[in-house]
Amino acid sequence: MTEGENLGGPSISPDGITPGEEFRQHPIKVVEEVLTAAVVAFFIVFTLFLSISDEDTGISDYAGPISVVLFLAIVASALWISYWRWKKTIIIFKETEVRVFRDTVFKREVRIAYTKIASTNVNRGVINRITGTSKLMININSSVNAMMPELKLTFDAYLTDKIRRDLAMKMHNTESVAVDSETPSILNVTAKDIIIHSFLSQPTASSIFGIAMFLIAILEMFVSPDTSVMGPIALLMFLLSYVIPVVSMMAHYYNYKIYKSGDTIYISHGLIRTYNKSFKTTRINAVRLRSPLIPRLFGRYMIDAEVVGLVTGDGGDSNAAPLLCPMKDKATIDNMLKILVPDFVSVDETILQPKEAAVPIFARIAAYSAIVATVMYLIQESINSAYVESGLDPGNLFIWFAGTTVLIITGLIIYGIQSLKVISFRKGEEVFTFVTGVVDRKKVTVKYDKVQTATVSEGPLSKPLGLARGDVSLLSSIGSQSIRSGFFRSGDMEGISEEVLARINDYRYDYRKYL
Amino acid sequence: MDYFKVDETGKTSDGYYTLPKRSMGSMYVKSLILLVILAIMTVGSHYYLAIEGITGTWAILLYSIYALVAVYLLIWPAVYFARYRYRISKDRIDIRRGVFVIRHTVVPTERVHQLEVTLGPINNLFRLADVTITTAGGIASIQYLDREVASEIADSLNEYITDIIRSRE
Repeated sequence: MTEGENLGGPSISPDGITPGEEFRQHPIKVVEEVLTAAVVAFFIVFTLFLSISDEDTGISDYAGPISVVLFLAIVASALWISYWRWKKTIIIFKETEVRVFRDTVFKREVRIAYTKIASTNVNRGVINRITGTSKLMININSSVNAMMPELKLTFDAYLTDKIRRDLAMKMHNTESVAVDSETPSILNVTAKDIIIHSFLSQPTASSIFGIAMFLIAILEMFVSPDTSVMGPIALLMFLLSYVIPVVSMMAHYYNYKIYKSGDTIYISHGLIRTYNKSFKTTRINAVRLRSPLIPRLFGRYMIDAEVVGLVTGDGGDSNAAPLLCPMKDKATIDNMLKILVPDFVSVDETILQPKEAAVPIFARIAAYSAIVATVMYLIQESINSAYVESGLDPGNLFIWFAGTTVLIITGLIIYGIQSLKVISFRKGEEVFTFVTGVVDRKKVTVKYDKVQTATVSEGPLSKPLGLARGDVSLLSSIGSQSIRSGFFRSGDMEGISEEVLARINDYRYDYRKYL
Repeated sequence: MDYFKVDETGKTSDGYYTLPKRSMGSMYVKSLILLVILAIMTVGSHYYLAIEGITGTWAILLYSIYALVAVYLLIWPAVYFARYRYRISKDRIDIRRGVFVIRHTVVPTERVHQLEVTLGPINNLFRLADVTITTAGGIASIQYLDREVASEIADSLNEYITDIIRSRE
């Protein structure tokens, strides 16, 4: 077995990995596992300490020593188990597959063929940065385990990069772009861009709610600074719903860089934890152009992609869909689409929802309006009764509720009118596009070859008009995803599954293209 | 074209099959169990609201919702049965179903990863089974089939998939 000199890591030849060479992970893996166990043990033991330190238990005098001994016992056990697992786990990079063999009580052997690997990612947390190590995440193209990488291996940072480069050669037959590469990013993204992106990419509802909470908190501070409970609650809600997501997004996408080498895209970013992702463009199932209401007013859009196997399962990377371009103007977005994913650029005619679609859309709005009006009336009645019973004057309560109801229903009507102007469908040769979302707009372009199931739904109002909605399911970053269209001609929607099948039957779909 | 009209062979003009009649029995049993559970919850909620002094309009609303759900649960088995059609061919699995909204699902055989025949306790009483088809992007199922038909479908689909895999080796 090859074992390195420093920190116990393995050594490799400068040209790459020798096939069949056996590796062991960096010992910091043991430290990480023990630290995690120690945190969990602390909370368990602390809870136990609180319960036995009660005088009624009769052993309250020994609560301290018992807790300390128990804590040390748990940590020692974790250390022993982690060390044993580390010592008995061997990684072998063969000619065609990577093997991980663990020879403990629960024996385990994982074999992953290089051709089945969807992506290899490198992740560096605080401990990794201190110790000069990295985590190599290996993901296969599967929805079953999409939320966790199949292999998570810790090595010296330089070794991780070498292994990743070697894997890229075996998987894609292309040279991998090294982490911390001097290669300039194909898109210049400054810290200012990431700050703007973090603010603007929040869903409109979260932004409005967050700003409203902020205004309430400010108002309460001036109106009743000493007695108000509402102020601190509103401030907390503002922090949770808006500030934390914005700040965490800034840290997540800080120092964003994107490269393309051959048909492989490399993305690196991160402030506290750094992320290095790579995937072949053939692994992209769908490309999404997104624009919530506020950035759209400024002509800003962003692009992300649905690729399986990019979730690190290591905390912090909830934004599993890789960001291909942060909030930028339309010209930059179009250019990035052409450079990165030309297969997903379609120039075919866009079909808006037919005029008849107004019938099912407004019937639904009428139903929602009736529900809103009923619920608002019932709530108003209950509050009114409570006021009357307490001998208080309800004042303008009815007018407030009636006004709110009218406002909501007006919003729904505007939504209906706008949806007829916005929701669209585009049928291309290789791809099709659904545009959805009146407020937060999404333009999702999907390859026919990536559609797993297709469903066409005809309701009692849409069917007589020859209209239907389409639903396609595909592999996504978080497992599987369903994308739903508006109301279009039934034939157009049925045409999606027919095209998928036609491509399979006449061999235009070639599975080898997507390996 | 009427997608649901069947001829004397029990198939639609474009080759879709219907479910066995006893599938309705299984659906009705499920409906009745749900009706009883919802009745208990409704009466319990009414009792709780009465203790809290909330009666009148809210109670009427509660029972109205229950009545609507009850009517739906009593009519859906017959409608669901009448509108359930499925077809298996070499390249696809086709399912049409629904009560108010009719859904037409197409699963290309090429995309099938896994097949499973499941027999729940109620379906078991009526000698019925479901075939669950797993693709990389989700699950589709053909419900309330004859046990033997379910096995045959699973076997034939398995054969198709095996052929596809073999052809790629």
